[in-house]
Amino acid sequence: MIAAVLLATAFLLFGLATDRHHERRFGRRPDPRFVRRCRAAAWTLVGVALAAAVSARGWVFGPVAWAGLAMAGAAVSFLALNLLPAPERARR
Amino acid sequence: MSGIAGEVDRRTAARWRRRTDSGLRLLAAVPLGYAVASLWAMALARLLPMPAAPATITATLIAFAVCAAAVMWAYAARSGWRAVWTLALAGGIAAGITWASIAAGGRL
Amino acid sequence: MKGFRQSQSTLHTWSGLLLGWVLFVIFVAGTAAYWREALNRWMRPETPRVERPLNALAKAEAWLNRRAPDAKTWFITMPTAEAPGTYVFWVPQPDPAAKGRRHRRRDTFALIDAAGTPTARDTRGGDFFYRFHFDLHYMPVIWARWLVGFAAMMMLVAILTGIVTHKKIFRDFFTLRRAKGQRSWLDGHNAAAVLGLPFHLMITYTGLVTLSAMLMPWATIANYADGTKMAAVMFPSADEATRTGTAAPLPDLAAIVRDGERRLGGPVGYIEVAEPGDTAARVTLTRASSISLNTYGDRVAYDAAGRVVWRSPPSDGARTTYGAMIGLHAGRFGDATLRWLYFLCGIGGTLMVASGLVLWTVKRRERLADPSRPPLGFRVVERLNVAVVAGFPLGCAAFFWANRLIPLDAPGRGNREVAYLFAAWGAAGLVSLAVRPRYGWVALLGGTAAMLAALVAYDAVLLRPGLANWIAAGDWALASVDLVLLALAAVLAWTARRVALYKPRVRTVRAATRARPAVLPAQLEPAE
Repeated sequence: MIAAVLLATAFLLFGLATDRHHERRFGRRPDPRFVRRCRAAAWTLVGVALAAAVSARGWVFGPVAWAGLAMAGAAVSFLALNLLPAPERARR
Repeated sequence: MSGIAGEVDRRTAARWRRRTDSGLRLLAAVPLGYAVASLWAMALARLLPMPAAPATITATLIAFAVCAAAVMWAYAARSGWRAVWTLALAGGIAAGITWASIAAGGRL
Repeated sequence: MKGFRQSQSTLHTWSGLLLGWVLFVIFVAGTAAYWREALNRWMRPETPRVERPLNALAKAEAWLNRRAPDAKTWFITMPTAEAPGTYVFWVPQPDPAAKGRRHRRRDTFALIDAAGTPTARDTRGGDFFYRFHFDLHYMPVIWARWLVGFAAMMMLVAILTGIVTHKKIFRDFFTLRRAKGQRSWLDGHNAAAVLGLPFHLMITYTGLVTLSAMLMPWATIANYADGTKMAAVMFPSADEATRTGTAAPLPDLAAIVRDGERRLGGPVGYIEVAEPGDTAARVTLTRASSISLNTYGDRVAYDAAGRVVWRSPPSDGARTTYGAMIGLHAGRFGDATLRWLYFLCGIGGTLMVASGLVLWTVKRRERLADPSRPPLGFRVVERLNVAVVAGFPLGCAAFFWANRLIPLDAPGRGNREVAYLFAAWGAAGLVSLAVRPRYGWVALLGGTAAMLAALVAYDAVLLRPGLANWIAAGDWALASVDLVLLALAAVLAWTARRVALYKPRVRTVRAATRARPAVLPAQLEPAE
């Protein structure tokens, strides 16, 4: 259950990010529809993660764990997106 | 000659104006900010529609936000003087409420 | 005049800078304090593990009965597997003859290990970091708490003004421009701040709440002419027990605790025994704060025969909220996962403060009219940064080394360990004043890395029981301390290396021929 929360939250932030800043990985600027879908999916995962956390730990500790895992997921995504080498396509 | 001297005078005056403004803002932020937060803590403790203990706790919890807001206002206000008199007024209102409320009785 | 954002930006810089050094040490100590009990055990490696808490409790009670049978009150912290033993503290009967003499807390305090004897090693352990992060050291506690409280309020202002100032907080969420000097530092500072924003806001606000009795007593004063009435609401307890003078057998604490856990619906955290050994003895149990967010656990009181005589009233919403805020700050609830998350967030906060301090100098340095002759204020800040950000961790490493090296039976070794921390920190401060900041960073960061790595090696090779024993016994709390120290050593070493290798970008006069970053040689961004 907790693992599901972890993955969900990390994934979400990954998704939110990829469309926004890291089009350098895919070449051009992202297609607006792709961006919208990515963000929608990411927000859905946030909600699911909260539900998972609450079902696993109750209404008091669930949101606390969810917030902590969200921050961790954000940090992991941030590091991954910035530090993992990307294919150098377009001229910066 | 007088032109250069005048320029220096104007610059010195401007520097003192800035210093006064900074000083006033600092006065507004720290002592006045804390005072306003404390006075509103007292006023809220008296005014909140709940029994004394929960009202005291709630007022205390709110007071820290008031303090932060006051410090931010001290620097956001259009001038140092404005920061000082607005905060003084806010504190005064709270003081008045508190005094009136205590005078009306009900202090445990 | 300046715009709102600009004014808040200025406020952010000054509120952060002036108290940044205090905030840095608070964050370091506070983050370490999340491993308080693990460190308590790690700094007493010869102490056996608590396998059976109730058993340890019974032994502690027996010890107390030998040492202070006629005390007024015994305060016992329930032993757990995480702790090195049972913390006991007693208040002797009021003695009119001893009116003048000041009662030293240390004289009536002991840590009883699982075998029933006081622990051999006098050390502050992890509790040092916990206390330090609000009481500081070498100063009256009241001054320290006012300073810490003031710093916390400025931190809150810095966070709020930071949010206001940050123009593209959502769009720039994942931005990290590298090798771009001030902008890279800004991105790093923003990342540490924004990614952990919920935590930073929470920890700062709740930190103020924990000190609110001192910082903001005014609401209480407004509503209560007699402050003790409010205290009674916050900390309810049964009536005072009055000693009858008739002796009675000691209450069986282990049995009472078992019953108490049932009634309280959770583990017992604290035990108070008033007038032990008397027929009027009363045992008050408080539920542990490890299972609920609200740190104020319910309480139940028993008489000498083990019958329930009092229960604490249910907590109202405001008190529960208040208790939950303190609970959120202390983070005692929750399992290993949550504790690690707290720890990582604390590190994030520490990095936020440190990067903010460095950012200030990096930004100013780029704007210096004459880089070879910076103004005095700038030089002071630059060196204070080294002295605090690199010096305090070095002091902590020295603290751990002192713990390992000072002989067990040396008198006052607990205070000596702390003295070594400050001596090392002081020496580091002198180094940072004497040499150029760049050399200061490399020396102090590298020195700390070396000390921590050597410490882990000592634990692995020379310490008995050591790292190998801990891993073999599955004692991951202790093993993790060494692993984290090793990881910290690695990070510090890497950082020191980056600083040592850093070549400042030479400002090209010919802007027209601005080369691509990849072409310029050995282009490394300034590290911490």
